[in-house]
Amino acid sequence: MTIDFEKDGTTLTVRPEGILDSVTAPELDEQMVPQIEGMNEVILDLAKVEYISSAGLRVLVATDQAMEKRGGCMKIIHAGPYILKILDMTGLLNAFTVVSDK
Amino acid sequence: MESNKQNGGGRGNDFLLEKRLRTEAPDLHRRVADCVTVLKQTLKSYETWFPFFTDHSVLHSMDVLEFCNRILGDQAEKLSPQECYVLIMSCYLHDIGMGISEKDYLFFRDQLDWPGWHAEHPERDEAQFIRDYHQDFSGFLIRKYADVLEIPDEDLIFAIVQVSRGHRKTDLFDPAAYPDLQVPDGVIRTAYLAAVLRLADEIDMGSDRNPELLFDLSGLTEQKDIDNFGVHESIRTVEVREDRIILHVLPKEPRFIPLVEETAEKILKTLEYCRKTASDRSGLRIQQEKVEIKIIRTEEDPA
Repeated sequence: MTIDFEKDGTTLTVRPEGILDSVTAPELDEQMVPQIEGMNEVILDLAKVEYISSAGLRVLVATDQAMEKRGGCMKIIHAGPYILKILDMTGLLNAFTVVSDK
Repeated sequence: MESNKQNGGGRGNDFLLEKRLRTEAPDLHRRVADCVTVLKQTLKSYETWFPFFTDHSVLHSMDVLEFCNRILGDQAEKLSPQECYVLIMSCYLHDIGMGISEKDYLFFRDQLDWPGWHAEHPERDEAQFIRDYHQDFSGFLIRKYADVLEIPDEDLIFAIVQVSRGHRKTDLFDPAAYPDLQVPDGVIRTAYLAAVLRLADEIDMGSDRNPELLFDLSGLTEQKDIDNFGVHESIRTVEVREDRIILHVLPKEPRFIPLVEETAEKILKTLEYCRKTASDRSGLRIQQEKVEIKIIRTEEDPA
């Protein structure tokens, strides 16, 4: 998968593209570590994520927890209907800040 | 580096229990979702007692749940919706005792004979007592906070308590402790569910157990902590196939190889126990039969 990182002051926008599963999730976890240093907000743009497995969800939870430890926050934007369905099915939809596109 | 996809990409077995619950018991699914939101915060409290321990947060719960889905495979279709609910909740709650509050700990500890344990182990501290008995502390907390967790009735409370406790040490062959509960819409086979959970918990040994985002290992000083984390780091992934469990290993240092082998042996013992529980105590199966270690070859390895 490809992952784009964009910084604007202390806001980091992360745009993974493809499938976030047990193969690709460790890459995202590893790349996130240096990127979130000094950041107050992480925006996860899931517009181009086709599928997310439990491993992918773990990285989302870990990022959310890492930001909270740093006194910052994370939010999810542009999640497609299928991704929203997975978040809802796993009980995580209300556990994250998910910004609706509507 | 050799590809280490889990379970052949496994979209088919992803979220089996969650899908069934959402479709067939939406009220129970809603209760689980509400719990997850709360537990995402609550489960972090294990760090109070165990600041240098491997992850016991909601991340571990999610791992265990995923492993349950993979262990079950096609057996998941044979579970009742209540069983799906009990197993999912137990995945989230089985280690809640590790983060017990001081107040609850002082309230419950004498029920576990703290004075007797302390007399026998004067060199050990209260954190170790909690660690030794955390499955029972989890049981106490689930029952005490059943209303907050919105567990709807006594049968489900009992089942979740027992299955959660069953992730370690308890005797899954005891029919009084692990009965088949007849409930209005089906049955809850507590021994089988506990066996699946025990195995799933045992195999959560991969490096992603302690994500780099949350764990800075450079500050560890105690040898046992270094060894513990080193074993996790060496096991890059745990793959659950229909007939076996595979540890994909890239040893952090050569000295971790025998520790990984010990870990594989321990997993095999648990697998054998859980398979026997399933076959003797229920009409369901645990299909995995063996544990393998596969060493990951890198580009630097000699041909």
